[in-house]
Amino acid sequence: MRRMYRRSLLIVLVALTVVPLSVRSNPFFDEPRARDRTDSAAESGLEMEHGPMRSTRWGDGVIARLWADTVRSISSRQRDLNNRLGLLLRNVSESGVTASGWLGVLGFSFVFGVLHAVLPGHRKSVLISYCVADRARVVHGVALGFLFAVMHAVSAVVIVFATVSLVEVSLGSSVARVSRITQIVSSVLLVAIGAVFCYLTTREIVRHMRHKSHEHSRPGGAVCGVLHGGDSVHPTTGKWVPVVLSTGIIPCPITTSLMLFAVSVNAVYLGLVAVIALSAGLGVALAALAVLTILVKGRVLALFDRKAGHMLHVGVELAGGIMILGVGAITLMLLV
Amino acid sequence: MRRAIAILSLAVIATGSLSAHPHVWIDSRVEVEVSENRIEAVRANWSFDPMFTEMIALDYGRGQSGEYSDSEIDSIRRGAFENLRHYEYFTHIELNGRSVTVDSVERFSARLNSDSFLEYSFEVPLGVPIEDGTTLKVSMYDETFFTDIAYRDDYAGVYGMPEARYGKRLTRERHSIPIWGYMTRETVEFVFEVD
Repeated sequence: MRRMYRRSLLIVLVALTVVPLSVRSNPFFDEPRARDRTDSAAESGLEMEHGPMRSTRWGDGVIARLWADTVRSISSRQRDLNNRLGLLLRNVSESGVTASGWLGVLGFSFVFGVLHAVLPGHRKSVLISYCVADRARVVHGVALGFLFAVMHAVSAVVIVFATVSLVEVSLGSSVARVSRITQIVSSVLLVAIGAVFCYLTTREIVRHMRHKSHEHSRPGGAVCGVLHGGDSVHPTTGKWVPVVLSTGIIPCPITTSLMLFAVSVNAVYLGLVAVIALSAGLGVALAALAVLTILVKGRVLALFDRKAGHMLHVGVELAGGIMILGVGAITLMLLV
Repeated sequence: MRRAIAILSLAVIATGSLSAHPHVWIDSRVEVEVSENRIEAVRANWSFDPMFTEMIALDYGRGQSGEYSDSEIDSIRRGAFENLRHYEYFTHIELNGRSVTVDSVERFSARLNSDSFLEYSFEVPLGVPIEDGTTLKVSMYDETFFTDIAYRDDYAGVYGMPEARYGKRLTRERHSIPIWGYMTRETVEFVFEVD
Protein backbone atom coordinates (compact mmCIF):
# COMPACT_ATOMS: atom_id res chain seq x y z
CA MET A 1 0.00 0.00 0.00
CA ARG A 2 2.80 2.38 0.95
CA ARG A 3 4.61 1.46 -2.24
CA MET A 4 1.51 2.21 -4.27
CA TYR A 5 1.18 5.51 -2.46
CA ARG A 6 4.80 6.41 -3.16
CA ARG A 7 4.47 5.50 -6.82
CA SER A 8 1.30 7.51 -7.18
CA LEU A 9 2.94 10.49 -5.50
CA LEU A 10 5.94 10.20 -7.77
CA ILE A 11 3.80 10.12 -10.89
CA VAL A 12 1.80 13.14 -9.74
CA LEU A 13 4.93 15.12 -8.93
CA VAL A 14 6.58 14.26 -12.22
CA ALA A 15 3.40 15.20 -14.07
CA LEU A 16 3.30 18.52 -12.21
CA THR A 17 6.59 19.52 -13.77
CA VAL A 18 4.88 20.19 -17.06
CA VAL A 19 1.34 21.14 -16.17
CA PRO A 20 1.46 24.92 -16.45
CA LEU A 21 3.52 25.66 -19.50
CA SER A 22 5.09 28.95 -20.23
CA VAL A 23 4.57 30.47 -23.65
CA ARG A 24 5.83 33.99 -23.68
CA SER A 25 4.51 36.75 -25.85
CA ASN A 26 4.63 40.46 -25.42
CA PRO A 27 1.07 41.74 -24.89
CA PHE A 28 2.05 45.19 -26.13
CA PHE A 29 2.80 43.79 -29.60
CA ASP A 30 1.49 40.25 -29.98
CA GLU A 31 -2.01 39.10 -30.66
CA PRO A 32 -3.08 37.07 -27.65
CA ARG A 33 -3.37 33.33 -27.80
CA ALA A 34 -6.38 31.51 -26.49
CA ARG A 35 -5.06 31.10 -22.97
CA ASP A 36 -4.07 34.73 -22.66
CA ARG A 37 -7.39 36.19 -23.64
CA THR A 38 -9.72 37.08 -20.87
CA ASP A 39 -12.80 36.22 -22.90
CA SER A 40 -11.34 32.93 -24.08
CA ALA A 41 -10.29 32.03 -20.58
CA ALA A 42 -13.82 32.63 -19.42
CA GLU A 43 -15.17 30.56 -22.30
CA SER A 44 -12.84 27.73 -21.52
CA GLY A 45 -14.02 27.63 -17.94
CA LEU A 46 -10.69 28.66 -16.47
CA GLU A 47 -11.08 30.24 -13.09
CA MET A 48 -11.03 34.02 -13.31
CA GLU A 49 -11.63 36.20 -10.33
CA HIS A 50 -12.72 39.67 -11.24
CA GLY A 51 -13.55 41.81 -8.32
CA PRO A 52 -10.77 42.75 -5.96
CA MET A 53 -11.99 41.33 -2.70
CA ARG A 54 -13.04 37.87 -3.75
CA SER A 55 -11.08 35.02 -2.38
CA THR A 56 -11.49 31.28 -2.17
CA ARG A 57 -10.60 28.57 0.28
CA TRP A 58 -7.50 27.72 -1.76
CA GLY A 59 -6.56 31.38 -2.07
CA ASP A 60 -6.54 31.66 1.69
CA GLY A 61 -4.40 28.56 2.07
CA VAL A 62 -0.83 28.56 3.30
CA ILE A 63 0.59 27.26 0.00
CA ALA A 64 -1.28 29.83 -2.10
CA ARG A 65 -0.15 32.61 0.25
CA LEU A 66 3.45 31.38 0.25
CA TRP A 67 3.49 31.03 -3.52
CA ALA A 68 1.94 34.45 -4.18
CA ASP A 69 4.24 36.14 -1.66
CA THR A 70 7.33 34.43 -3.09
CA VAL A 71 6.49 35.41 -6.66
CA ARG A 72 5.78 38.96 -5.58
CA SER A 73 9.00 39.20 -3.62
CA ILE A 74 11.18 37.85 -6.45
CA SER A 75 9.43 39.97 -9.05
CA SER A 76 9.89 43.04 -6.86
CA ARG A 77 13.63 42.38 -6.64
CA GLN A 78 13.78 41.85 -10.39
CA ARG A 79 12.02 45.18 -10.86
CA ASP A 80 14.64 46.86 -8.70
CA LEU A 81 17.56 45.10 -10.41
CA ASN A 82 16.16 45.84 -13.86
CA ASN A 83 15.90 49.54 -13.01
CA ARG A 84 19.39 49.65 -11.53
CA LEU A 85 20.91 47.77 -14.46
CA GLY A 86 19.15 50.00 -16.99
CA LEU A 87 20.24 53.20 -15.25
CA LEU A 88 23.77 51.90 -14.84
CA LEU A 89 24.04 50.99 -18.54
CA ARG A 90 22.64 54.36 -19.48
CA ASN A 91 25.07 56.23 -17.18
CA VAL A 92 28.06 54.19 -18.31
CA SER A 93 27.19 54.73 -21.96
CA GLU A 94 26.90 58.48 -21.36
CA SER A 95 29.89 59.07 -19.10
CA GLY A 96 32.30 56.38 -20.26
CA VAL A 97 33.19 52.95 -18.97
CA THR A 98 35.02 52.79 -15.64
CA ALA A 99 36.21 49.79 -13.65
CA SER A 100 33.40 50.23 -11.15
CA GLY A 101 30.98 50.55 -14.07
CA TRP A 102 32.12 47.22 -15.52
CA LEU A 103 31.89 45.54 -12.14
CA GLY A 104 28.45 46.98 -11.55
CA VAL A 105 27.17 45.80 -14.94
CA LEU A 106 28.65 42.34 -14.43
CA GLY A 107 27.36 41.98 -10.89
CA PHE A 108 23.85 43.28 -11.53
CA SER A 109 23.53 41.23 -14.72
CA PHE A 110 24.65 38.01 -13.05
CA VAL A 111 22.31 38.38 -10.07
CA PHE A 112 19.51 39.42 -12.40
CA GLY A 113 20.12 36.25 -14.45
CA VAL A 114 19.90 34.01 -11.39
CA LEU A 115 16.74 35.70 -10.13
CA HIS A 116 15.22 35.70 -13.60
CA ALA A 117 15.68 31.96 -13.89
CA VAL A 118 14.40 31.26 -10.40
CA LEU A 119 10.93 32.33 -11.42
CA PRO A 120 9.75 29.64 -13.80
CA GLY A 121 9.81 29.84 -17.55
CA HIS A 122 12.70 29.34 -19.98
CA ARG A 123 11.30 25.89 -20.85
CA LYS A 124 12.59 24.52 -17.58
CA SER A 125 9.90 21.87 -17.89
CA VAL A 126 11.76 20.57 -20.96
CA LEU A 127 15.04 20.56 -19.07
CA ILE A 128 13.47 18.65 -16.18
CA SER A 129 11.65 16.29 -18.54
CA TYR A 130 14.89 15.51 -20.35
CA CYS A 131 16.73 14.82 -17.10
CA VAL A 132 13.89 12.49 -16.12
CA ALA A 133 13.71 10.85 -19.55
CA ASP A 134 17.39 10.23 -20.20
CA ARG A 135 20.07 8.59 -18.08
CA ALA A 136 21.95 11.80 -17.59
CA ARG A 137 24.76 12.18 -15.06
CA VAL A 138 25.43 15.18 -12.88
CA VAL A 139 28.06 16.51 -15.26
CA HIS A 140 25.49 16.36 -18.06
CA GLY A 141 23.08 18.33 -15.90
CA VAL A 142 25.63 21.11 -15.38
CA ALA A 143 26.47 21.19 -19.09
CA LEU A 144 22.81 21.17 -20.05
CA GLY A 145 21.94 24.07 -17.74
CA PHE A 146 24.67 26.27 -19.16
CA LEU A 147 24.00 25.20 -22.74
CA PHE A 148 20.35 26.09 -22.34
CA ALA A 149 21.33 29.51 -21.02
CA VAL A 150 23.97 30.16 -23.68
CA MET A 151 21.70 29.09 -26.55
CA HIS A 152 18.90 31.18 -25.10
CA ALA A 153 21.13 34.27 -25.06
CA VAL A 154 22.84 33.65 -28.41
CA SER A 155 19.46 33.29 -30.06
CA ALA A 156 18.32 36.61 -28.56
CA VAL A 157 21.48 38.43 -29.63
CA VAL A 158 21.33 37.02 -33.18
CA ILE A 159 17.66 37.93 -33.54
CA VAL A 160 18.22 41.47 -32.26
CA PHE A 161 21.22 42.11 -34.53
CA ALA A 162 19.47 40.57 -37.53
CA THR A 163 16.34 42.60 -36.90
CA VAL A 164 18.26 45.83 -36.35
CA SER A 165 20.17 45.20 -39.59
CA LEU A 166 17.16 44.24 -41.68
CA VAL A 167 14.28 46.23 -40.24
CA GLU A 168 14.18 49.98 -39.95
CA VAL A 169 10.87 50.45 -38.15
CA SER A 170 9.02 48.74 -35.31
CA LEU A 171 12.04 46.88 -34.01
CA GLY A 172 10.38 45.90 -30.76
CA SER A 173 7.36 44.34 -32.42
CA SER A 174 9.53 42.75 -35.14
CA VAL A 175 11.68 41.07 -32.50
CA ALA A 176 8.52 39.92 -30.74
CA ARG A 177 7.21 38.41 -33.99
CA VAL A 178 10.47 36.59 -34.71
CA SER A 179 10.54 35.32 -31.12
CA ARG A 180 7.09 33.90 -31.58
CA ILE A 181 8.11 32.11 -34.77
CA THR A 182 11.04 30.52 -32.94
CA GLN A 183 8.64 29.33 -30.24
CA ILE A 184 6.48 27.64 -32.88
CA VAL A 185 9.52 26.00 -34.51
CA SER A 186 10.75 24.90 -31.08
CA SER A 187 7.38 23.36 -30.22
CA VAL A 188 7.26 21.38 -33.47
CA LEU A 189 10.79 20.09 -32.84
CA LEU A 190 9.88 19.13 -29.28
CA VAL A 191 6.93 17.07 -30.51
CA ALA A 192 9.28 15.22 -32.85
CA ILE A 193 11.95 14.72 -30.18
CA GLY A 194 9.41 13.57 -27.61
CA ALA A 195 8.05 11.06 -30.12
CA VAL A 196 11.55 9.72 -30.80
CA PHE A 197 12.24 9.42 -27.05
CA CYS A 198 9.00 7.50 -26.58
CA TYR A 199 9.79 5.23 -29.52
CA LEU A 200 13.30 4.44 -28.27
CA THR A 201 12.13 3.74 -24.72
CA THR A 202 9.23 1.59 -25.91
CA ARG A 203 11.59 -0.34 -28.19
CA GLU A 204 13.89 -0.91 -25.23
CA ILE A 205 11.01 -2.15 -23.09
CA VAL A 206 9.91 -4.59 -25.82
CA ARG A 207 13.47 -5.85 -26.30
CA HIS A 208 13.89 -6.25 -22.59
CA MET A 209 10.65 -8.19 -22.26
CA ARG A 210 11.63 -10.51 -25.11
CA HIS A 211 15.08 -10.98 -23.63
CA LYS A 212 13.67 -11.66 -20.20
CA SER A 213 11.20 -14.17 -21.60
CA HIS A 214 14.01 -15.85 -23.49
CA GLU A 215 16.29 -16.05 -20.42
CA HIS A 216 13.57 -17.30 -18.13
CA SER A 217 12.63 -20.06 -20.53
CA ARG A 218 16.18 -21.39 -20.48
CA PRO A 219 16.78 -24.44 -18.31
CA GLY A 220 18.31 -23.49 -14.99
CA GLY A 221 17.06 -19.86 -15.20
CA ALA A 222 20.31 -18.09 -16.11
CA VAL A 223 20.85 -14.58 -14.76
CA CYS A 224 19.83 -12.04 -17.32
CA GLY A 225 22.23 -9.21 -16.51
CA VAL A 226 20.65 -6.68 -18.88
CA LEU A 227 18.50 -3.92 -17.50
CA HIS A 228 17.49 -5.90 -14.46
CA GLY A 229 17.56 -3.75 -11.41
CA GLY A 230 17.25 -0.01 -10.92
CA ASP A 231 20.80 0.87 -11.92
CA SER A 232 21.46 2.87 -15.02
CA VAL A 233 23.32 0.60 -17.34
CA HIS A 234 23.64 2.99 -20.25
CA PRO A 235 25.36 6.32 -20.19
CA THR A 236 23.44 9.27 -21.57
CA THR A 237 22.90 8.66 -25.23
CA GLY A 238 23.50 12.07 -26.67
CA LYS A 239 19.83 12.87 -26.99
CA TRP A 240 20.58 16.19 -25.32
CA VAL A 241 21.77 17.76 -28.57
CA PRO A 242 18.35 18.00 -30.24
CA VAL A 243 16.74 18.93 -26.90
CA VAL A 244 19.12 21.84 -26.35
CA LEU A 245 18.94 22.98 -29.96
CA SER A 246 15.16 22.82 -30.12
CA THR A 247 14.56 24.79 -26.93
CA GLY A 248 17.61 27.03 -27.01
CA ILE A 249 16.50 28.73 -30.23
CA ILE A 250 13.80 30.54 -28.27
CA PRO A 251 15.32 33.90 -27.40
CA CYS A 252 15.20 35.03 -23.80
CA PRO A 253 12.87 38.05 -23.80
CA ILE A 254 14.87 39.83 -21.13
CA THR A 255 18.04 39.37 -23.20
CA THR A 256 16.34 40.79 -26.27
CA SER A 257 15.22 43.77 -24.17
CA LEU A 258 18.74 44.19 -22.84
CA MET A 259 20.28 44.09 -26.31
CA LEU A 260 17.68 46.46 -27.76
CA PHE A 261 18.43 48.74 -24.83
CA ALA A 262 22.17 48.54 -25.54
CA VAL A 263 21.60 49.29 -29.22
CA SER A 264 19.35 52.21 -28.30
CA VAL A 265 21.87 53.85 -25.95
CA ASN A 266 24.73 53.00 -28.32
CA ALA A 267 26.49 50.68 -25.86
CA VAL A 268 26.52 47.42 -27.81
CA TYR A 269 29.74 46.03 -26.33
CA LEU A 270 28.61 46.81 -22.83
CA GLY A 271 25.29 45.16 -23.65
CA LEU A 272 27.07 42.03 -24.83
CA VAL A 273 29.07 41.90 -21.59
CA ALA A 274 25.84 42.28 -19.63
CA VAL A 275 24.26 39.46 -21.67
CA ILE A 276 27.21 37.15 -20.96
CA ALA A 277 26.95 37.84 -17.22
CA LEU A 278 23.18 37.44 -17.31
CA SER A 279 23.54 34.13 -19.15
CA ALA A 280 26.03 32.93 -16.56
CA GLY A 281 23.45 33.68 -13.87
CA LEU A 282 20.74 31.90 -15.85
CA GLY A 283 23.11 28.97 -16.40
CA VAL A 284 23.89 28.61 -12.70
CA ALA A 285 20.19 28.43 -11.84
CA LEU A 286 19.32 26.07 -14.70
CA ALA A 287 22.30 23.79 -14.02
CA ALA A 288 21.33 23.62 -10.35
CA LEU A 289 17.80 22.62 -11.31
CA ALA A 290 19.05 19.97 -13.76
CA VAL A 291 21.47 18.51 -11.21
CA LEU A 292 18.77 18.50 -8.54
CA THR A 293 16.45 16.64 -10.91
CA ILE A 294 19.08 14.03 -11.73
CA LEU A 295 19.99 13.50 -8.09
CA VAL A 296 16.39 13.30 -6.95
CA LYS A 297 15.52 10.88 -9.73
CA GLY A 298 18.37 8.64 -8.60
CA ARG A 299 17.38 8.88 -4.93
CA VAL A 300 13.71 8.20 -5.60
CA LEU A 301 14.50 5.18 -7.78
CA ALA A 302 16.87 3.90 -5.11
CA LEU A 303 13.95 3.76 -2.67
CA PHE A 304 12.52 0.83 -4.56
CA ASP A 305 13.77 -2.70 -4.74
CA ARG A 306 15.69 -3.77 -7.86
CA LYS A 307 12.78 -5.20 -9.82
CA ALA A 308 10.35 -2.44 -8.97
CA GLY A 309 13.15 0.08 -9.42
CA HIS A 310 13.81 -1.11 -12.94
CA MET A 311 10.14 -1.00 -13.87
CA LEU A 312 9.84 2.45 -12.37
CA HIS A 313 13.01 3.57 -14.10
CA VAL A 314 11.75 2.60 -17.52
CA GLY A 315 8.32 3.98 -16.70
CA VAL A 316 9.74 7.31 -15.58
CA GLU A 317 11.88 7.56 -18.70
CA LEU A 318 8.87 6.86 -20.87
CA ALA A 319 6.94 9.49 -18.90
CA GLY A 320 9.79 11.94 -19.52
CA GLY A 321 9.53 11.36 -23.27
CA ILE A 322 5.77 11.82 -23.10
CA MET A 323 6.32 15.03 -21.14
CA ILE A 324 8.63 16.44 -23.81
CA LEU A 325 6.10 15.51 -26.48
CA GLY A 326 3.33 17.03 -24.35
CA VAL A 327 5.24 20.27 -23.76
CA GLY A 328 5.73 20.65 -27.51
CA ALA A 329 2.14 19.77 -28.37
CA ILE A 330 0.53 22.01 -25.75
CA THR A 331 2.75 25.01 -26.41
CA LEU A 332 2.09 24.57 -30.12
CA MET A 333 -1.66 24.60 -29.46
CA LEU A 334 -1.27 27.75 -27.39
CA LEU A 335 0.80 29.46 -30.05
CA VAL A 336 -1.22 28.85 -33.19
CA MET B 1 14.26 10.76 6.31
CA ARG B 2 16.01 10.20 2.99
CA ARG B 3 12.68 9.38 1.41
CA ALA B 4 11.13 12.52 2.78
CA ILE B 5 13.98 14.65 1.44
CA ALA B 6 13.78 12.96 -1.96
CA ILE B 7 10.04 13.43 -2.25
CA LEU B 8 10.27 17.01 -0.97
CA SER B 9 13.01 17.81 -3.47
CA LEU B 10 10.90 16.44 -6.30
CA ALA B 11 8.04 18.60 -5.09
CA VAL B 12 10.35 21.63 -5.22
CA ILE B 13 11.35 20.75 -8.77
CA ALA B 14 7.72 20.29 -9.70
CA THR B 15 6.68 23.69 -8.38
CA GLY B 16 9.82 25.17 -9.87
CA SER B 17 8.47 24.61 -13.33
CA LEU B 18 5.25 26.41 -12.60
CA SER B 19 4.48 29.97 -13.50
CA ALA B 20 6.67 32.42 -15.37
CA HIS B 21 8.34 35.71 -14.89
CA PRO B 22 7.75 39.29 -15.90
CA HIS B 23 9.74 41.04 -18.61
CA VAL B 24 8.19 44.50 -18.41
CA TRP B 25 7.71 46.45 -15.20
CA ILE B 26 5.28 49.30 -14.68
CA ASP B 27 4.85 51.71 -11.76
CA SER B 28 1.28 52.90 -11.87
CA ARG B 29 -0.95 55.59 -10.43
CA VAL B 30 -4.69 55.95 -10.77
CA GLU B 31 -6.58 59.23 -10.82
CA VAL B 32 -10.34 59.70 -10.65
CA GLU B 33 -11.89 62.69 -12.36
CA VAL B 34 -15.03 63.93 -10.67
CA SER B 35 -17.35 66.65 -11.93
CA GLU B 36 -20.65 67.70 -10.39
CA ASN B 37 -21.05 64.57 -8.33
CA ARG B 38 -20.27 62.30 -11.25
CA ILE B 39 -17.28 60.05 -11.76
CA GLU B 40 -16.33 61.12 -15.25
CA ALA B 41 -13.32 58.89 -15.80
CA VAL B 42 -10.60 56.78 -14.29
CA ARG B 43 -7.21 57.90 -15.48
CA ALA B 44 -4.23 55.53 -15.48
CA ASN B 45 -0.61 56.71 -15.41
CA TRP B 46 2.06 54.13 -16.15
CA SER B 47 5.80 54.62 -15.82
CA PHE B 48 7.87 51.93 -17.55
CA ASP B 49 11.21 50.34 -16.73
CA PRO B 50 14.36 51.50 -18.62
CA MET B 51 14.45 48.46 -20.97
CA PHE B 52 10.94 48.89 -22.30
CA THR B 53 11.49 52.64 -22.43
CA GLU B 54 14.48 52.23 -24.72
CA MET B 55 12.64 49.68 -26.85
CA ILE B 56 10.01 52.33 -27.57
CA ALA B 57 12.61 55.10 -27.94
CA LEU B 58 14.45 52.97 -30.51
CA ASP B 59 11.30 52.70 -32.61
CA TYR B 60 9.65 56.08 -32.06
CA GLY B 61 12.47 58.41 -31.03
CA ARG B 62 12.60 60.64 -27.98
CA GLY B 63 10.38 63.49 -29.11
CA GLN B 64 11.27 67.08 -28.31
CA SER B 65 12.83 66.92 -24.83
CA GLY B 66 10.73 63.88 -24.11
CA GLU B 67 7.46 65.35 -25.42
CA TYR B 68 6.10 63.46 -28.43
CA SER B 69 4.08 65.15 -31.14
CA ASP B 70 0.44 64.16 -31.74
CA SER B 71 1.42 62.02 -34.73
CA GLU B 72 4.18 60.30 -32.76
CA ILE B 73 1.76 59.60 -29.91
CA ASP B 74 -0.69 58.16 -32.40
CA SER B 75 2.05 55.92 -33.82
CA ILE B 76 2.97 54.70 -30.33
CA ARG B 77 -0.70 54.10 -29.56
CA ARG B 78 -1.16 51.98 -32.67
CA GLY B 79 2.19 50.21 -32.44
CA ALA B 80 2.77 49.61 -28.75
CA PHE B 81 -0.46 50.17 -26.84
CA GLU B 82 -3.63 49.41 -28.75
CA ASN B 83 -2.94 45.67 -28.71
CA LEU B 84 -3.66 45.81 -24.99
CA ARG B 85 -7.36 45.97 -25.84
CA HIS B 86 -7.14 42.17 -25.92
CA TYR B 87 -6.11 42.35 -22.26
CA GLU B 88 -8.64 44.99 -21.10
CA TYR B 89 -5.72 47.42 -20.99
CA PHE B 90 -4.57 45.64 -17.82
CA THR B 91 -7.21 47.72 -16.02
CA HIS B 92 -9.91 46.06 -13.93
CA ILE B 93 -12.59 48.28 -12.45
CA GLU B 94 -15.32 47.45 -9.99
CA LEU B 95 -18.05 49.96 -9.28
CA ASN B 96 -20.30 49.25 -6.29
CA GLY B 97 -19.38 45.58 -6.49
CA ARG B 98 -19.97 45.22 -10.24
CA SER B 99 -17.23 44.72 -12.78
CA VAL B 100 -16.88 47.35 -15.49
CA THR B 101 -15.66 46.01 -18.83
CA VAL B 102 -12.75 48.07 -20.12
CA ASP B 103 -12.98 47.53 -23.86
CA SER B 104 -11.91 51.00 -24.97
CA VAL B 105 -9.94 53.90 -23.59
CA GLU B 106 -9.62 57.58 -24.48
CA ARG B 107 -7.03 60.36 -24.43
CA PHE B 108 -4.01 58.12 -24.71
CA SER B 109 -0.75 59.97 -24.30
CA ALA B 110 2.95 59.07 -24.12
CA ARG B 111 6.04 60.99 -23.06
CA LEU B 112 9.47 60.57 -21.55
CA ASN B 113 9.54 62.02 -18.05
CA SER B 114 12.34 64.06 -16.49
CA ASP B 115 14.22 60.84 -15.61
CA SER B 116 13.83 59.65 -19.23
CA PHE B 117 11.36 56.90 -18.31
CA LEU B 118 8.51 56.26 -20.72
CA GLU B 119 5.09 57.20 -19.39
CA TYR B 120 1.71 56.22 -20.77
CA SER B 121 -1.55 57.74 -19.64
CA PHE B 122 -5.12 57.01 -20.71
CA GLU B 123 -8.66 57.37 -19.49
CA VAL B 124 -11.48 54.92 -19.00
CA PRO B 125 -14.70 56.92 -19.31
CA LEU B 126 -17.33 56.05 -16.72
CA GLY B 127 -19.89 58.88 -16.43
CA VAL B 128 -21.70 57.53 -13.40
CA PRO B 129 -23.37 59.54 -10.63
CA ILE B 130 -21.89 59.47 -7.15
CA GLU B 131 -24.17 58.48 -4.33
CA ASP B 132 -23.33 58.37 -0.68
CA GLY B 133 -21.12 55.33 -0.14
CA THR B 134 -20.29 54.79 -3.81
CA THR B 135 -17.32 52.43 -3.96
CA LEU B 136 -14.84 52.30 -6.81
CA LYS B 137 -12.04 49.73 -6.97
CA VAL B 138 -9.28 49.80 -9.55
CA SER B 139 -6.75 46.99 -10.05
CA MET B 140 -4.07 46.94 -12.72
CA TYR B 141 -2.45 43.65 -13.65
CA ASP B 142 -1.47 41.50 -16.60
CA GLU B 143 -3.14 38.09 -16.61
CA THR B 144 -0.16 36.66 -18.52
CA PHE B 145 2.36 38.02 -15.99
CA PHE B 146 4.56 39.21 -18.85
CA THR B 147 4.11 42.63 -17.30
CA ASP B 148 4.38 43.23 -13.58
CA ILE B 149 2.39 46.28 -12.50
CA ALA B 150 2.70 47.80 -9.04
CA TYR B 151 1.21 50.99 -7.65
CA ARG B 152 3.62 53.82 -6.82
CA ASP B 153 3.89 55.31 -3.34
CA ASP B 154 1.59 58.14 -4.45
CA TYR B 155 -0.79 55.56 -5.85
CA ALA B 156 -3.98 57.56 -6.32
CA GLY B 157 -5.67 60.93 -6.47
CA VAL B 158 -9.14 62.34 -6.98
CA TYR B 159 -9.63 65.54 -8.97
CA GLY B 160 -12.73 67.70 -8.74
CA MET B 161 -13.76 66.73 -5.24
CA PRO B 162 -12.59 67.93 -1.81
CA GLU B 163 -10.37 65.46 -0.01
CA ALA B 164 -12.71 65.34 2.97
CA ARG B 165 -15.45 63.74 0.89
CA TYR B 166 -13.70 60.62 -0.21
CA GLY B 167 -11.51 57.96 1.29
CA LYS B 168 -8.89 55.84 -0.48
CA ARG B 169 -6.76 52.88 0.44
CA LEU B 170 -4.42 50.42 -1.20
CA THR B 171 -5.02 46.73 -0.59
CA ARG B 172 -3.23 43.58 -1.63
CA GLU B 173 -4.93 40.27 -2.07
CA ARG B 174 -4.38 36.98 -3.83
CA HIS B 175 -6.31 36.16 -6.95
CA SER B 176 -6.29 33.30 -9.36
CA ILE B 177 -5.13 33.80 -12.94
CA PRO B 178 -5.10 31.21 -15.70
CA ILE B 179 -2.03 28.99 -15.85
CA TRP B 180 -0.03 30.65 -13.09
CA GLY B 181 -2.36 30.20 -10.14
CA TYR B 182 -2.52 32.57 -7.21
CA MET B 183 -0.78 35.90 -7.57
CA THR B 184 -0.73 39.09 -5.55
CA ARG B 185 -2.92 41.87 -6.88
CA GLU B 186 -2.98 45.46 -5.74
CA THR B 187 -6.25 47.33 -5.66
CA VAL B 188 -7.01 50.98 -4.98
CA GLU B 189 -10.37 51.41 -3.29
CA PHE B 190 -12.22 54.75 -3.23
CA VAL B 191 -15.29 55.43 -1.11
CA PHE B 192 -17.21 58.64 -1.87
CA GLU B 193 -19.53 60.67 0.32
CA VAL B 194 -22.33 62.94 -0.83
CA ASP B 195 -24.17 65.48 1.35
